[in-house]
Amino acid sequence: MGTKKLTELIVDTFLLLVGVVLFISARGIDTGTALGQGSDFVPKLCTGLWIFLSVCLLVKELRTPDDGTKKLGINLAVLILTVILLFAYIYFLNILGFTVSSMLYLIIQMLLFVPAKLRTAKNIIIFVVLAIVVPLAVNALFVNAFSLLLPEGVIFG
Amino acid sequence: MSGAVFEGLISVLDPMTIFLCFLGVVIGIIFGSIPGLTSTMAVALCLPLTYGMSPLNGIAMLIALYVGGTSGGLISAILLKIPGTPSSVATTFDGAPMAERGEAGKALGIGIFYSFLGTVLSIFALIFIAPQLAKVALKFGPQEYFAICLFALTMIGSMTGNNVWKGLLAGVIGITFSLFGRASVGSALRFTFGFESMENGFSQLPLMIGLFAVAEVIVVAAEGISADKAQIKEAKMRGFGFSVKEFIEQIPNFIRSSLIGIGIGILPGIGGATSNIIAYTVAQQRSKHPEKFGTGVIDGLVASETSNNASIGGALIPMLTLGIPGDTVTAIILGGLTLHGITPGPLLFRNSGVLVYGVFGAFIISTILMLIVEYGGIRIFTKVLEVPKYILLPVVLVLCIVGTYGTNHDMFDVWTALFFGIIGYFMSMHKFPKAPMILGFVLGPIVETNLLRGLMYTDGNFFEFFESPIAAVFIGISVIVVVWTIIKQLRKTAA
Amino acid sequence: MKKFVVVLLSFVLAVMLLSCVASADVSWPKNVEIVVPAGAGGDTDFNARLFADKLSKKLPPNFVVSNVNGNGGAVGTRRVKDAKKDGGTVLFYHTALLVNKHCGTTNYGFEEYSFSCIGAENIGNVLTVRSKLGIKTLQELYDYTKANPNKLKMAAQTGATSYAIAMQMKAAGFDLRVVDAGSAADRLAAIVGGHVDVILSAYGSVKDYIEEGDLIALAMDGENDFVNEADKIDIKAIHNQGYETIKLPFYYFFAFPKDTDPELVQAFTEAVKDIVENDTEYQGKIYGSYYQNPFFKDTEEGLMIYSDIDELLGQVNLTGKL
Repeated sequence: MGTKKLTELIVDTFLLLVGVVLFISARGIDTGTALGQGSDFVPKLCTGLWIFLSVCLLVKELRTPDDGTKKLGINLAVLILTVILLFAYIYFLNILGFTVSSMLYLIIQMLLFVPAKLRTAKNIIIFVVLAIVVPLAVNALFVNAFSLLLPEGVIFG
Repeated sequence: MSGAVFEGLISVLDPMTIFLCFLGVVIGIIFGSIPGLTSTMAVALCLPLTYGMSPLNGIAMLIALYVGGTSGGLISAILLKIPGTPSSVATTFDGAPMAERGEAGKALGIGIFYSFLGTVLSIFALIFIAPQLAKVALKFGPQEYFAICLFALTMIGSMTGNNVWKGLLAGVIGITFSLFGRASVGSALRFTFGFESMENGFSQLPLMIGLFAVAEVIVVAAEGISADKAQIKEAKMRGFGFSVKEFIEQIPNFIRSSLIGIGIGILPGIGGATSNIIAYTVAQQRSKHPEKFGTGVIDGLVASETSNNASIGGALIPMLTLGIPGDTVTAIILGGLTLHGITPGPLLFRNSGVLVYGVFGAFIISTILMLIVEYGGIRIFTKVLEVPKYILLPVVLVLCIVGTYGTNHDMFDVWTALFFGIIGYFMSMHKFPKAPMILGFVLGPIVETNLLRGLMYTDGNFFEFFESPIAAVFIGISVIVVVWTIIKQLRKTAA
Repeated sequence: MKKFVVVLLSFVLAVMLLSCVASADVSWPKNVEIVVPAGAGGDTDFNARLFADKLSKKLPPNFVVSNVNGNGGAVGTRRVKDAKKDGGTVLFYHTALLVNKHCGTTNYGFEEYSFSCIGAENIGNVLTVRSKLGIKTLQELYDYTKANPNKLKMAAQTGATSYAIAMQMKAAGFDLRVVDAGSAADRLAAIVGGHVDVILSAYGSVKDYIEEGDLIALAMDGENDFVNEADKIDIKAIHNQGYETIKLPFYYFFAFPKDTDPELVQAFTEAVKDIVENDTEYQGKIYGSYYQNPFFKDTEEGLMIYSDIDELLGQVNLTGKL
């Protein structure tokens, strides 16, 4: 089977499974307090529809012809690293604070994104400068000027 | 009475007031154009600044922020394919493809001009027929809200593109996600899986930022950025970027979209975030070339930007005539009036007529300033396209973190954005349309809440819903649309 | 001799150092976040921001308001409950914290915080009816509901203070049909549109309608009568009109996370007291916008008042089915 069709089937099956899990969860919903009438009605209806539609989708995908391509077509390494980076960035927001976390995020993400040909010394210097200046500027604008507090870390704040 | 009108309108011609309108519009546009920051945030942040100002100046600035903020969303929607605010989601559908073709200037010009026109039309409604419109809006009880939003939900059926199952499923998934958390009617906990942090459900803004901005970062990571970007030729732009002929062709679309925007804006609880998608979908259905929508036709752009700005005037109508805010921003503006000792209600025009007409004047001035500032800035905006994606996207993401966190100061919202970013990635890669999910998420709670409330009012009798003509009509149309879509789909599969 | 002088000097130095430490100033963080579990623009937010502004001038830190909305306030109160105890976070909220507990949205009360003080009093909501019903007094409302049981629709928001009052009224014999109608703005729209018959509303929101004759003000749901001679307002409290079990006093309080430095909390409480009792600009502003009179109760008295309200709320069933 071609990778395209395989990934489609995986996604569709996954959706179906999620729908089933949510449907089971919906069956456990309380009907609600005094004023409420059926806090469980719409959830059950929607998750039921979810299951029905994902079955239809799965059936349709099984019927469509396979194009047989074996290539993945995406840059798996950069993709996974980016997702991990995003997780780490958000996780460290409350530990290192907004400013430091953003600096780290920016420099790493830019290095991940830049195409190999353009990974020159000049560009890297630009990245570092931006990675330092942008979070500082954002911090100055929002925390100091607008009084909008951003996550402050345990270590740096 | 006319004395108050004249005095009110003249009162805004004060240099300080005009300056504050200008400042508000500029700050609003900046907030609106940066994904993650919204006009709501701008208004909330600047509210304390208005404490020391005169009532007129304070409200003038807040309205200017609202106008600039709503309109500014089109800039990143067109240039980055990421809506700057939830009101510009539909702008990405046709605005972004135009930019990719080298017509960014034209797209911006059209978006700006029709933002302006949409606002102007809603200002007319506000000034001349506000009380009458407000009275009509009041007649909308839960049964009517349910019916109208149900009808709007059936629009999902026409947004499905090639694969109808994907579109419908996206819509149902959106509705289901909106149910997470504590139910608004009945207070039961739903789908929280034991997590306390899930009890408030998902918020709209983090969801949008996730689906569009975070997802875009992940998509770019997967697809990579080519070193030798094909130079996108920027076509030369004349005037506002469109011809007189195109303008005339768009008149029906423009008027219809304005009415949709005003109508939806008037109904408290629904606003620009909904009207832009609805107006776009209706324009597509009424168009002679619906298949071209999504490839970069100006009709979609006109519909989206006209309606979202028209909703501003719409939302101000119930606030100024009845003291009932139409959305979060007008709720904040209402607070702004209260702290100056003015509580809007039906007697506002009589007791503070000069102020009210001053507010109208500020609204007009802000709209004109928005046009000037944005049009003047088109050349600067298009320069954004020259910043390499590997720099631009990470910076945009950092700003999105600010916006996601800044709305409710809750880390859960930031994690929500990441969660939906991953979902959005898979949606992009597997061609699941995003608009149905957003529409489902936004309208789902309104449909459910009003259905349950309506049943409470009628003591459980659903058929009493049909006693209201408006409700009966819209429920009827919804049923017809659903049945017809199913028949159409069955015919297609049989063929 | 020299050795003795050295020892004596060291001793004096030590005593001086010790006394410095003993009377050390409170160590404040640079920024203090005032968490407000309500949206921007409302009355709670306004009171908080006013305090933030005044406190920033009185105490070393920069006081900043953060709106943390959701779940009737539970998201915000929970956040402060679990926040760091370094004085960098303080909660500003009102009676709804206890209502949340009694409705089952949360399972904690003030015992989970270091309570500071009550800083202000909200005059409460006006019990309002549609004039078309022909009801002019609270007693007439009672009689009407007895004659027409379950007919009049009263709008409330599940889990919020309006809901508590509605339940108190039902328990006292008002035979109303309580329906959920959402937020204050939604409820106002509902009554003006004729979809419900009775609501509880802030005075400012219904002022014009009362003047126009569309709505009638029957009573106040809080501790006090609302009397303002200049504006010809005279609305008696429900519990002063013969229904002693129906009231929900509405006080705004400050509370820090449990086990925050007591000296910091004390310094904060004193600063608030000074503002409420002596700052005429503050007093003018709260009256001009929300008809509030300055009101302050320190830690002990504040907790006692809330304990009474806790008991009051416990007398009505706020969780189960009707």
